[in-house]
Amino acid sequence: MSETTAVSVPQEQDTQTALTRVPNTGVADIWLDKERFDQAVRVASAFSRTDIVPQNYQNKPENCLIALDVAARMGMSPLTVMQSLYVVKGKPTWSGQACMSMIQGCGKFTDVRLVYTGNKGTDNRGCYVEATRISDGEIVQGTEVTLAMARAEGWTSNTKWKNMPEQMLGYRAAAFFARLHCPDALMGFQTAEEVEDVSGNSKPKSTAQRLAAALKVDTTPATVPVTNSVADALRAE
Amino acid sequence: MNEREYNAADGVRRSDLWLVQDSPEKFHWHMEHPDDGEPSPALVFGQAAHKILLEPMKFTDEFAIAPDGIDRRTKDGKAAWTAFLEQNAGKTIITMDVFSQIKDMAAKANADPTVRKLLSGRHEVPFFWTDPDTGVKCKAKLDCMTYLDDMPVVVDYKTCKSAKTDAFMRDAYSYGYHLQAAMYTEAVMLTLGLTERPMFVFVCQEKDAPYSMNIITVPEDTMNYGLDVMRELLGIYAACEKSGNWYGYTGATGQPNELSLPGWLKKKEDGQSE
Repeated sequence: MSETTAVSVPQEQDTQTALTRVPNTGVADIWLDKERFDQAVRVASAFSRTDIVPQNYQNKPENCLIALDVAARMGMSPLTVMQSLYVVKGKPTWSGQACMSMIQGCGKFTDVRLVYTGNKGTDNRGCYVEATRISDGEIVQGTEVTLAMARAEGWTSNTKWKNMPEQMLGYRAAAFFARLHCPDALMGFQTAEEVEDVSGNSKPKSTAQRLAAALKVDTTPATVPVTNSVADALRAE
Repeated sequence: MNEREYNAADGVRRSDLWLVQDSPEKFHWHMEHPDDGEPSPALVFGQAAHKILLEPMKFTDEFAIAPDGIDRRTKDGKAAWTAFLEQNAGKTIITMDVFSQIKDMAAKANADPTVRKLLSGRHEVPFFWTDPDTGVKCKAKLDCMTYLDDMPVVVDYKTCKSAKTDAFMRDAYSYGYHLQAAMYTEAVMLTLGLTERPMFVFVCQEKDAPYSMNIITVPEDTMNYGLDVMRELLGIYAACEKSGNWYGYTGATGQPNELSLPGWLKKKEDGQSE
């Protein structure tokens, strides 16, 4: 188990406790200490050759090296990081699922739970994360995310909001809670849902696009009737 | 407010500021000699085209069309021409050819639903404001100020040789249209107390048939560049006014300049020495 030593994940650690943080033992040194760095590169290379790691990491030792660094800094298993950290629209992001695990694993809270509000399927359906803060036993709540909010913010252009709104509310609520109560747990990364929702919609429109919208000029290309008739003809055969 | 009143009102225009960019000396000379020289045919053409499109009802108050068939070499012709000029004293005279050209241009513009929508607001709107940084009094007359879906839009009509986007773009920077966009939107913001800068749109039309048109917006980076230029020129203007030193090409302290190699030649030179 030489590879786990290199990223300072305790050797005894099993997958059950993978998300529980362990004290940081100076792994940042892999960037400064030649021996540690060489070792980390070997470990990364070994990871990249397996087909158990997600595709983003297969045959990409550089990606694995980054994941090892993140894992070491957060005291997580490298495999867990690889499964939870992926690139969305060019940005490293945590999966919504991982975000919840990190709140549970950061050591500051117990009894972390999702609380759903409003009526299912309506705009007032909402969700927030509630947890008990270990330091003072206080019950803390994250910001409530509602479907009305998702709509107003334009997140719903991401089709996942239409197909699995409950799940998306939960992921978002977890991200909101973490940003507010344990921002360090996410190491400054966004969650995949945050990036997908925002980049799908809020890419600043050019002045020409804004003007076209205000003028109600139809900029969508006309449908090609030829393709339709060809398709119809093929179906008929 | 008519043209004469607007011209007489206090304030620097963007065309004045653009002269400062050339040199304060030139700007100052033009201020001191406002009526020197006849307006160029291109300028008259532009003014007439604006008038017929934006204020058609006022067209004949300011322009007169020279009648065809007056032979000014003959005695009768001379008399007829003098009589025509007397009848139209104070108006700008344009030829029948120019009139039919600008009439066709306006007809084309008015037939375009998008252009019509853009030009649906108030026309020839004068703005007067004081620049908060320098205290310089400024003025601008907007071709058109309109609202589209509550979004304020400043529209400027330009007649040009080519309305094709890249050709217009080249002209735009040499004529200071970026400065115009910055200054006009600044006028609207400060006067109406807007927190967001209005959109600035050029409606461009070629002077020759088929009088092709283009609609060109001013994106944020161009607007920011225009604002930088505006700030700099207002600063220079304010400093010159304070010092009374309207300097020329050698700058405020009369420094010599260098004939340096232009970029493309420098590249060639560097290539040879390698």
